Amino acid sequence: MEGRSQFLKGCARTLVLQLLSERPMYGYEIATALSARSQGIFALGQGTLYSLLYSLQAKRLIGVSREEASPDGRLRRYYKLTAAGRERLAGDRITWQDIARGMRLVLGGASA
Amino acid sequence: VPDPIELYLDEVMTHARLGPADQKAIRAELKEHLRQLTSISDSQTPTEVYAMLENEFGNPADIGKGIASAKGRLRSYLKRKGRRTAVALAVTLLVAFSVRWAVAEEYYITSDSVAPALPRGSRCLVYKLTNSFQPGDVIVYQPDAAVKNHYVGIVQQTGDPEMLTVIRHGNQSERVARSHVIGRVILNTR
Repeated sequence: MEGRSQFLKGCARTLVLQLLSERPMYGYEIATALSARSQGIFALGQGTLYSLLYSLQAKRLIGVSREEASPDGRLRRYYKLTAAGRERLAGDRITWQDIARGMRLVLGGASA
Repeated sequence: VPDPIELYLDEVMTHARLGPADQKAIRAELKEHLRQLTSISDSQTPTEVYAMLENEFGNPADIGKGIASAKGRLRSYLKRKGRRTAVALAVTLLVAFSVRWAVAEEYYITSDSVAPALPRGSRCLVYKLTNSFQPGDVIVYQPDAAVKNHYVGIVQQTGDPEMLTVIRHGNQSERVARSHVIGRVILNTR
């Protein structure tokens, strides 16, 4: 399980960039979209999404597009991709294609 | 009865250790997410809700630590870097000044007292950890501790254990107490 979660974590960054490249989203939206579109494979502990978002933000790959505050102290913060994030996503897609091809070649075509 | 969402957030924020501005915004952002989770869950009692949050959102301490490292990375990096730089700078200055004070110091020759060996405008390095001199050595000395002037001269006689005889301007002979000698020129830019 430890190995699996490390593996997923590495991929989650690319998937978050992909989702935000489609439209600005807030945290809960990202978490549910990730889970739904990956058929539950990326339904990882949703809290870990936020450390990912904050580190992407610190690297200027994503930014806040707008915020909606509720009177009871809730904040819906929409994130969008920056130009650097778009570039990184393009790079990640190429990397992923290489990795997927390499894994298939080594692990065998039967499961691919 | 305390709100399980607030309890959960307290636990996250304790471990996230954020600055006041981040603290407020991030707590509000997480609260939005947790409210949405509880709204679609059929958990009833506060204990059930808290367990559901731990299950769906994750262990609050781990989440807090994750946020701390994502948010605080740059800040703690700069803090660490700044401290290291300050220490390195202090040590460097201390070493540099102690060396100048005790071991060797650079001098700039402003007179023709030892020309042509060291003409006016030369720079030279004076080694201070020596008290044995030979005729022909170029030395720097300070005859009066109260006056800042330093002089250069060429050693002529070393026979007296207390005094040296030095030559300046080619022919002026002068007696210099060995205790007034600062050091010997070991390198110069002539």
